[in-house]
Amino acid sequence: MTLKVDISSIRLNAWRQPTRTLVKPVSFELAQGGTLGVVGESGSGKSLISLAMLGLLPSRIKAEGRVLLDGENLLEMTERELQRVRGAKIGMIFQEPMSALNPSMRIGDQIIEGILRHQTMSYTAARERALQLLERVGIPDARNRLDAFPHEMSGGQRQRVGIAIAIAPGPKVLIADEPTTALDVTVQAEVLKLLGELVAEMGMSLLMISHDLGVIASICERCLVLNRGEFVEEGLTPAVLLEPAQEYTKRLIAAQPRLEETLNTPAQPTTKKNGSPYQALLEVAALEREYTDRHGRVVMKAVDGISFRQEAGTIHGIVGESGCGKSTLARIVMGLDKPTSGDVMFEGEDIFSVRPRELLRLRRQFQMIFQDPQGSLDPRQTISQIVAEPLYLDPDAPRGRDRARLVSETLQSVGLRSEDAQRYPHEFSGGQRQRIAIARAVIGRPKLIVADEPVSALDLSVQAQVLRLIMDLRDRLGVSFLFISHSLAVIETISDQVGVMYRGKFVETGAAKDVFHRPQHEYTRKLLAAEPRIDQGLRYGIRPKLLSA
Amino acid sequence: MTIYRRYLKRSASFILTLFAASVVIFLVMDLLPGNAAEILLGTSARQDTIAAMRSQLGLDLPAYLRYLNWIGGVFVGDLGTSASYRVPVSGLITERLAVTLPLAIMALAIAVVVGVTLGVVAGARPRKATDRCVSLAAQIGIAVPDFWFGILLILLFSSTLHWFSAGGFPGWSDPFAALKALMLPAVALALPQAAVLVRVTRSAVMDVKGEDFVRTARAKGLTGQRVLWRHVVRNALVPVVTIIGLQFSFLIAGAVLVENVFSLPGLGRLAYQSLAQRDLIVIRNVALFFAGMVIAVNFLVDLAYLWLDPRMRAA
Amino acid sequence: MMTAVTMSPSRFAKAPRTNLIAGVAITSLLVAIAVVSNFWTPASPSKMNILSKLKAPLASGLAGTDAFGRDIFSMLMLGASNSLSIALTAVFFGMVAGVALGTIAAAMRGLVEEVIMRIADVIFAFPALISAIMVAALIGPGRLTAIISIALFAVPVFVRVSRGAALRIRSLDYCLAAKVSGKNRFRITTDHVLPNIAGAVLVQATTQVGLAMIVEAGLGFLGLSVPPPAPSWGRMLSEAQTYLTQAPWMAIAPGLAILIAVLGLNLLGDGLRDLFDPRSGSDA
Repeated sequence: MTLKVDISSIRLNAWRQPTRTLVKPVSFELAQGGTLGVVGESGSGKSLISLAMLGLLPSRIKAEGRVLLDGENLLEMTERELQRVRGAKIGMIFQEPMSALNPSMRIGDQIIEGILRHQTMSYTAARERALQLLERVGIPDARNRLDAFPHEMSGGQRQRVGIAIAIAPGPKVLIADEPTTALDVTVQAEVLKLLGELVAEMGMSLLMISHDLGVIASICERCLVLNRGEFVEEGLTPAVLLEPAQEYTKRLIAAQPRLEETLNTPAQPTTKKNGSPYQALLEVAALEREYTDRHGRVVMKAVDGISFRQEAGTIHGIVGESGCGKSTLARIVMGLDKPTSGDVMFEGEDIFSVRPRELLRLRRQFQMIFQDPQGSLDPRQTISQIVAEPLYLDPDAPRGRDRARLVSETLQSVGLRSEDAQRYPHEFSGGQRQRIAIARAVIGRPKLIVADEPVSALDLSVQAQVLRLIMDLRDRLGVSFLFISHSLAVIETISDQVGVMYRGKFVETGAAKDVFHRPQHEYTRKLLAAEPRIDQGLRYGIRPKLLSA
Repeated sequence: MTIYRRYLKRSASFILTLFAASVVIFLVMDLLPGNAAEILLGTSARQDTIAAMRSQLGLDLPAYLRYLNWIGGVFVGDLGTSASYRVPVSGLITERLAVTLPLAIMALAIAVVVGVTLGVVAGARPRKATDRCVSLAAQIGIAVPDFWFGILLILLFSSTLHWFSAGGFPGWSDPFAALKALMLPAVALALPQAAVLVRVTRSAVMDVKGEDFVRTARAKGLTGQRVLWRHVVRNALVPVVTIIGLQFSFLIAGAVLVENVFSLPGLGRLAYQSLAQRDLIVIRNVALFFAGMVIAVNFLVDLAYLWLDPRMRAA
Repeated sequence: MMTAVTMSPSRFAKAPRTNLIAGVAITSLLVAIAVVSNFWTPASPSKMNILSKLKAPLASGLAGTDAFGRDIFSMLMLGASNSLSIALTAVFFGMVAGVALGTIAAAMRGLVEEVIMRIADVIFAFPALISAIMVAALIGPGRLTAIISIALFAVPVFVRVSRGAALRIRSLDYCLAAKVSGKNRFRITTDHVLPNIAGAVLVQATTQVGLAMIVEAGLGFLGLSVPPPAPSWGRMLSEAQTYLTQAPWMAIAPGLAILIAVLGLNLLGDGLRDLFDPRSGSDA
């Protein structure tokens, strides 16, 4: 098997609009058993290339050039011919394990229909084969799970099913489009390991598409960098990632938050209030939050005995995988949810025992930044209205022209222009929107900002800028951040203190340096080991095949 | 366990809605100026005769007892006696139902078959010639009042071509003649419903086609037809079924009109004639019957969700 | 991840705005005719002239005459005014009540929401014609009966549409941000929810006016809407049935009037939806 891709363009033909070129000439080869990574930020066209190879582009997007699979040009095939290639010769795995499976079809049937399409065998035999595949991809109790629906499985299991579907007809090439992006880091490591094993076992070639340089470094022997539809460079992965030749690649790598290399100079705690050094800005004690069913039985402890204190002027990082309770903790600290037991003390005042009017006053000291820069700004309000919203609470807030001046100063302090005040959110990019959200958070000069995954939805280069802005605000305004993230690298980059959260508990707390350099708890070590890094070389059973290519 | 709880909850809410609807009907009809006894006996009747009639009809009882009398009667099939027809209302309704129910079912069947099929065809290949024709027809179909369409059908098939009679109903003794008499009314009733279903199906199919799992299905190498029917249409049915439930209310309203256009002795015509006669007992019971049908259909739609979308069984 | 393809709908073809243009044109014409009919019609819509009864279109007036020799086109013009005014009034009240209940349900959740939704279910159980028959039994047929029953029928529609849209808006982070800023449910509803659901409600209202005109014609057909001698499209159809073979235009003309009016409103609704939400392109 050889796969030679030589795409001259991918174009969008929109109705009554000039044709837009989404991908410019790009070519690469994938040898039998080889692994190639395609790296780029959003809008780089990396997914388009993979869809183009299988003829799955939306109807208004056309690819030109050649995709030669064993000498046959897939781009010139009819739909009927392509159907014989898809699945049988090239399998594909998609990003969202939630939406990539048919919600109303049992997973066994979703695997079986692919097998029966390309191989002549009875339904019973195909079902037996599907069972073997489920076992092979590591679904426990596979015989019963054959008849499960996708929603009855976890994200990692769904992605394993996605892999089983892709490999079921025995393709020689596997295209994986961000297969682990939606997964937790430990699950990601397991899924990558599975992929690596399968590639070696079945002698498949792998084309992996990802924005995550660490993932590419761990599983691809070669990699290709794309930027806004343009080919940047291609080569052996260690060469490209450790000694990049192109300016763009260098910037991309520099933007990657890296463990053991922090941009952060730790802040000095500024707590000196009342002359008492012991009063923390935020003190959380023995916090518990239980969820009960209708009979009052405890079904889940989202937060299970969390205690920590945060000094003023610091960034306190909380890291954990999805479902560990970190967002519940954030909501409780914000007073948006009530704990089952335990206290949240803000400057010595218990926010759950003060009167509602007092809480309103306290609230002025708190703000929040959210993950999704799309949903956190009201599309029908101007930036000025959005940014000024927290002043609603404050009876002493400036009005009229003074307020406009305050808004424009705040916008400038987060790196936006004062003219932006009259514009609407849709006119801004994701990173700029997050800056607007930060401006809204800081305008009332709060003492604490809870930031729940504030950079997860952003591209790497933008992510680095926003992280720098947050540290800058801490230093300039003395505002503290409770920073919540699933990414170890981000947390290490930005935090002064950290707590590693697992199943509602802190398994490890301390100064960021200590926790990440000398992890004590096994879970922390597991997390650190699972974190993909660009300097780690190939893992997961991938052996370089064609070092000389 | 959870799934039975769901069925139980839906059933409870079904009964509660039914109960509330009956209370609303009772309150509205009980607020009437004048009373049933006077209407029955005419204005010339003597006061003591009216009083005797009132107590015979139970109209001198407190409101809640009058309500219980009515609903109790509904349960045992005793709906009282019609003032204008002088026959038991229950018999009247059963007799008329033999026209309305087949009419509604025929119309619904035509609308679903035609609407869903054309909707899938249009949605599968949007902006192609077929889609444009179907969508245009649906756009116009929605704007056509069903009873006017009925008149046009009479004009064409009865007055001009003489294929069908202009109205009336021969009874079920000759099933073929009965079905033939219901054919034009059912088509008239089905047209706007089918048009709505075309549009809903088309857009649901287009939405589902954009879902990730459809791409997964195509990446398996499945044929276009299999992807369309097994993956797209199957998941597009939820909004379609929702609309079928919602549209049923229009179908009932349309039946009242179409029965009048075609002079069919159905429930809708009964309700209309009873209004002219101020036959409140009949109106009250027919209204309850219609409301009950709408609520029941929506209850069935709720149950259909559980079957269509496995996620709802657990949630 | 199809970011480049799906994330910015603006990059894609803007659906041709034929729907919107046709909708605006037809609806403006409808409104203009309805307004003008109150001051001027080609002939008197109520003047009977037995000598020129049942004249075909163009033999007398644009759409012929009816059994009493009245000019059908003039009656249609005034009928438009009656139908449109009833539909607009009814949908307006139904919309205000429905949106209020729907947004309250979304803001309060819990028991309040449950009660509101069950009330909507109960109202929905009465098709407009059935409630019109009940209301007519109560207060007699007429304009008010038509308005009440059509408005009632619109309430649950708006409750569902506005509640659904409001819940979606409320789940977004900017409503949480407003809550963090100390805004209560009421302020969040007025500041964030209403402006963001206005588009969806307006689209629904446009379509609903079209539906209301069909229902009004049905009520008129049964004699439950405006009483004679005020012209009504529905009653014209009912009168036309008697003369179906002699004067088919009597039946065709009012139906076409309803068809064009409703088509215009539906096209306007579709056009507005494409304008507010370019992703759900649905050009006919």
